[in-house]
Formats: sequence, C-alpha cells, structure tokens
Amino acid sequence: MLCPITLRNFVKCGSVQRVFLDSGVKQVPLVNSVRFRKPRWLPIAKSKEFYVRKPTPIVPEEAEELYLRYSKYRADVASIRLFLKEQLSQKSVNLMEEQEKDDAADLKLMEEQVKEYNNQVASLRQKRQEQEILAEQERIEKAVRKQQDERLQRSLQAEKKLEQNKAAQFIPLENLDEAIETMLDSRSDYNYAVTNSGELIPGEYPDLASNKAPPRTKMSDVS
Amino acid sequence: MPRIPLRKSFDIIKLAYHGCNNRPFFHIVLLKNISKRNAPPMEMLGTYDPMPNIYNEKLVSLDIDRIKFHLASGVSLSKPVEKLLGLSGLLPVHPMSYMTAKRNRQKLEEQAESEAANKKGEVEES
Repeated sequence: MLCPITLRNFVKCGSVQRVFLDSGVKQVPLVNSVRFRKPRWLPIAKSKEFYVRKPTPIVPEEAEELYLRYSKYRADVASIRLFLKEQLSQKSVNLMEEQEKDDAADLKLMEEQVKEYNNQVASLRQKRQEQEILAEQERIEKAVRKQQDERLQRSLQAEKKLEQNKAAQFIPLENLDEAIETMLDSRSDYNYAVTNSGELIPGEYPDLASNKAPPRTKMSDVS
Repeated sequence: MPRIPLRKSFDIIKLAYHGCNNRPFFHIVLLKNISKRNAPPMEMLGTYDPMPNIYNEKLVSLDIDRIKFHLASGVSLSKPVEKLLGLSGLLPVHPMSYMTAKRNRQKLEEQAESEAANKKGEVEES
C-alpha cells in the first residue's frame, strides 16, 4: 500500500532523503525529499539511487547524561529568565515611583514660583491702579470745574444780554396805554392771495390787507 | 502546487558571520529567526572571535545588560550563543559543553594510554 504524499509528509521529509516500503518484491521510494537546489523533475542521481542515510550513532550513556543535563539546564534557564523578568518589572516600578516623586516636587516648585510671580505682579498692579484712580479723580474734578466755570460765564453773559434787552423793550406803566394803542393800530391782515402777476386778492379785511408789510414796532418808537 | 507553510517568526540572539575566507569572525546580534544571516540586525549585542590570538585566547564581548533585558523579555537563544553565555557565567554551562569536554578528556586519556603502551612495547623490545 502506498501512502498519499500529503503536504505534511512532503515537508516533514525534507531532511529524510527517502522512505522505502519493503513490499517483498522491490523497494519503492514513497517520499522524495525536497531538493531546493535542483529542479523538481530531475531524477535521483544514479549513485544515490538506493542511498539511505545512516542515523547518527547515539551512545546510550551519553544520551542519558545529556537528557538529565538538558532537563536541568532548561529548568535553570527558565528560572533565570523569570528572575530577570521580575527584576526588570521591579526596576520599572521603582523608576515609575521615582518619576512620580520627581513630578510632584517639580509641580510644587512651579507652584511656588507662580505664586511669587503672582504676588509681585499683584503689588505692581495695585500701585498702578491707585495712581490711575487718583488721575481719574483729578481729571473729573478738573472737568467739573471747567463745566461750572463755563456755565457761570454763560449765565453772566445771558444776564448781561437780558439787561440790555430789558433796557430796550421794557414798557413802563406810564406808556402802557400808548403802547397798547400803537399795537392795536398796527394790526394787519395776512389772509390774502397773490396772483401770478403780483396782484393782491384781499381776504376778509381788505383795509388791513392793504398794509402789505405792516410797520414793525421799533423799540425806539415804543419807548 | 502545495506551498510550504510560513515559518513561525520570533526574535532570536544568534551569531552572524562577518569574517572572510579562513578568518571567521562573528557578531552576536538580535534578529528574527527567519531573517538572513547577515541581515542588518535589530540590535548588536557583542562579538565573538573564534581564532585564538597570540595569548591563546578566544575573545568575546557581550552587552550583558541588554542581553539580560532580552532574556527577561523572552527572546530565544541559538545554541552557540547559549554555549558562550554558559561559559561567560550568565547562564548555567550548556550540556553540550560538558559533553564536548568529556569527549576531549576521553580522547586525551586514550591517547595517553596508547602512548604509554607504545613506550612499554619499545622498552620490552629493547
């Protein structure tokens, strides 16, 4: 019976050159090795046609000793690796703790520095603000004084003007009747129309309308 | 056509041959197991000069701290490197080192015996 050449067998037998099946009649190669150096279709060399690799000789005493030594060696190496791993993790933990401490110290220092700077700035700012407030007050006082002065000047001027006007327009009691008379005499009616050619069309009181421009009562006349 | 399955890839500390003809010289390097022999290494961890110098010494240099770190992080070692580390004292001595020493010792003993036998024969003959 021939075994099918599966992928696993194929690869597995890379190191084994050929496996023979003793069918009683003749030896038939079951599996060919993978010869990466040669093309797949090249036949086996004539000299190597029936070559079977001899297995490496094993001295039983040595094998036993090696087995024991190897098992101990592997265990030792594993334990050393574990120890080194623990050491490494411990180291990293220590480093992290130190880092945290350093960070805290740095933060504290920075906070102190900031506080100091803030205090300095605050004192400077207070001085400046006081000065500013003083300047502002002075400015306001000055403005108020100026305003009051102006108002005073204005009122004085107005009084002066009033005095002058008073002197011109004041009607004394003796002249009252006369003034009334003149006022009544000087009535005029403005309720008229004017044509395009400039003629007047009188309204309700034609007599009064004739006074186109009624004479203004002059101050001098009144007094 | 069946394809050969990909090999498992892992980091390994191994020897990289950097000598020339008849003058071997090795770098001890950290590489992937599937990378080429003289590929640019991920890290160089030492050198090994297998030719004895005038004082009959084979010189090895090792970056012990880094090797410790890599051992801790589970990097595997090739057999020659294991042997070198065993001789350097970082790891226990490799079983094959013991075996080689034993074989050498046996060889020397056999030689001495044969020499002694020869001498005996010569004396008897004379």
